[in-house]
Amino acid sequence: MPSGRVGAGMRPRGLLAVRMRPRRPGLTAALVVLGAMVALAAAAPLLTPYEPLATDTSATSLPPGSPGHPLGTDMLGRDLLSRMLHGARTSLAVGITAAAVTVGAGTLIGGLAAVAPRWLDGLIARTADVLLSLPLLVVVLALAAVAGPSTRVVIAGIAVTNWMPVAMVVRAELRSLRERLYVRAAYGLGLTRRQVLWRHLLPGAAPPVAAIAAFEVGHAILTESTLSFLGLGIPPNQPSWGNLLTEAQSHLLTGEWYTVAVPAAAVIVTIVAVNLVANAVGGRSEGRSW
Amino acid sequence: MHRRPVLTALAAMSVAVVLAACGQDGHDGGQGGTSAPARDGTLTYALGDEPETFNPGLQDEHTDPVTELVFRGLTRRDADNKVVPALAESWQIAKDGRSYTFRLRKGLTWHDGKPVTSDDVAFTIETVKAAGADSPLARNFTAVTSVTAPDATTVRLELERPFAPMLDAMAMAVLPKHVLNGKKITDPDFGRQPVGAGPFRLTAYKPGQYAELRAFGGYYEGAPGLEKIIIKYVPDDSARLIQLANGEVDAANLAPQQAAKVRGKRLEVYPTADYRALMFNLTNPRFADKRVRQAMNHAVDRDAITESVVLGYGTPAKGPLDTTPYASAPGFAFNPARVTALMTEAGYARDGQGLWARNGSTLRFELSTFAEDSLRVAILNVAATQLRQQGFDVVPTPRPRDWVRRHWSDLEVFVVGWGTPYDPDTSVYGPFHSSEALAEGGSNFGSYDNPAADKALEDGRGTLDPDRRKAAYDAFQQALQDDPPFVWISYLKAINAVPDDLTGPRQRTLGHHGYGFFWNAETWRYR
Repeated sequence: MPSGRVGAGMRPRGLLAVRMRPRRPGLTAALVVLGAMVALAAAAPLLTPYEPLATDTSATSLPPGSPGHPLGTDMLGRDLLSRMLHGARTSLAVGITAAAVTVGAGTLIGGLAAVAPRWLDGLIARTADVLLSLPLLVVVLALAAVAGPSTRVVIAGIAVTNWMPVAMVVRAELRSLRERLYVRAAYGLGLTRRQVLWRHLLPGAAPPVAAIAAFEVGHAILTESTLSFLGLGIPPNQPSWGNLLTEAQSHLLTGEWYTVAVPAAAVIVTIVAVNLVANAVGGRSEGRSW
Repeated sequence: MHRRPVLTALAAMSVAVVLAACGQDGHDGGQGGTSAPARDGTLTYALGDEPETFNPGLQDEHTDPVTELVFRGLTRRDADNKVVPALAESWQIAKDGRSYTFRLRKGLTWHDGKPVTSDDVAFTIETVKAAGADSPLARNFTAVTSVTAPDATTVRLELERPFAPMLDAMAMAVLPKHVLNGKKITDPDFGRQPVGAGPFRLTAYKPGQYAELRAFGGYYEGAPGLEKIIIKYVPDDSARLIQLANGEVDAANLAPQQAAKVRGKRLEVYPTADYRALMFNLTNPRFADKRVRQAMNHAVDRDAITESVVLGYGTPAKGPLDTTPYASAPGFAFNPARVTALMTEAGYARDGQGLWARNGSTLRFELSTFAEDSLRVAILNVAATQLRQQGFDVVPTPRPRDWVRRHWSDLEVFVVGWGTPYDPDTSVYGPFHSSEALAEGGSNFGSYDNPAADKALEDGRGTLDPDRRKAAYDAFQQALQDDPPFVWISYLKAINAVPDDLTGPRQRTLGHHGYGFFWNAETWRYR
């Protein structure tokens, strides 16, 4: 497949110096899927005449393929396509925002650890170790249970439990880069610490961070679904993939299988696509797997 | 390592998808081996809710199956929910309605072999009355001034004023004095290992799993027909259906959409007094005008809700007493023309978006309910859509139960569930009398205050004359029609699947959650 050419022409500089590895099978497909998901989510109100919350007692439990309802309707006659599209908005927005917050916080903490005095560095590393040793879902569940379900809590919960790998990677990268010859040369040429940080250190650490960031998007989407499925994520009634699954779980055996299958498939397809992209961005083949 | 839970969640989702796909076709295939439950006189019944305690002194008039099977009161209700003798074989009521004398049956025994005496009855009433807020049923005994036990089988109650529901209230279980004496009524041990005088005794209880009951030979009507009843707590609807299909349980409480999926069982579908309605918070000035509340009652298509949300397993509601002998509420018909007329009369006009507005702002309100209750959320969403179509700016917002419990007074409109099939006073005095308002600590959560309704409620509980009571509750229902506290939605039906060869279950109008299904379980047996 000519898919290997994707990104071949890209040679951005500085912080965006993320190299796409060519000849990765499926990468094009993954990018197309993700692009389509984002486009569909963004254009949701234009693509369906139905409100995601509007019930229709004269069109309940229609199977997929019914006229006017390509994905069918649920027990209350709500259009599943509309709910999926609006759900994608929530799920993708939460995923991307949470990943951004996680990576931002992780980079900041990691950078701080790299330049901080030994005691602070140690404190950050130990804190990260402790958090890494706790089952992540337990921490997020506790947070969600205390603060109540809301989009902000979901994002905060994901960030609190996921900044550690980003911070550790940033810290390690900065420390190793600092000793490199070209960095020392830059100091030698009279660049200030800040200039070195921005021109050399951070761009150098960008590729591994970008890979983690991509993973975090997928991970955040999955965490949102899990939390919402457990009733602790996105407030009930606001469509999100996780909430759709929650509502559909009681219809597993009663005929409306598609109300479960469609959102579950959307979550799985998105995660797989995100992981493919993340692997490609990461470059090295030792990327994390799920 | 820390990724494991997520992996599990992903796996669970995949399994869910596979299960869902199998659910459609695979279901019938599994039915062959299901119709041979153990025939040793055991009935295993799966139920969603588990009570916090089996102590009837801490429950309201809707007792869960275990408590119902373990205990008996002086009176009980028959198939028509009329009061009939139970532990008491007879009673006399003084002409002025202020003195009751009950005569107990001879030879009554507790499950531990001790005799049931009038002392136990007096102890029960005094304890529950003194428990106050701990015991919901304490409200039935506020008029009682003294309880005496002149001899071992006689109990006399003196009341400061006539209280019509008294006989019905005496259906409350009698508690064993010799077990509870000196302990608090909230004693957790008694709530888990209750001793009663009912047809079954509790022999094992695993919280969160099941309760096992065995026939009590010393029951006053003779030993029951079934050897053993196991009540299994299975909160998940789908899990109950699976367990019923694969023979893990013989009988189960089912959700409406599951009824059509059951094979090889008999469905017992009974009416209940359990209704759903949209309650207005009347401390909110936007709902002060009764024409707005009437209009909203006309804006809801109850037939469509009953057909879609509960798939016909319900009846459109007209008022709070529809399934009792006192039913007389005219109810509201779905009528968009009436909505327009009433809202216009109340000074509202449709704005650019077709929403009713006055002085530049729409009649915007939050419609909420317990987010954990899928039926209420379904009603919320359908009602919100219908109200919106009629121009009401509804924001449907289910809230977590804990949040609601902390914010009763902040709610705007809320999907409530009320109604008991027993004495009408029990059903309506709490939710609608102004003295029971939320601020007073009562169960009138909407702070409804209607002098005509108050007077009718007082008349209804203050007289023992059947005709005057009927007249009082007619007047009460008319008062609610004129000045509606709720948007009436639907009564629910209880659906229970039982083995084909089980005889005995008999239709009765059941209570909240469909409680009361086991009301005559001592007569059940396998053919």
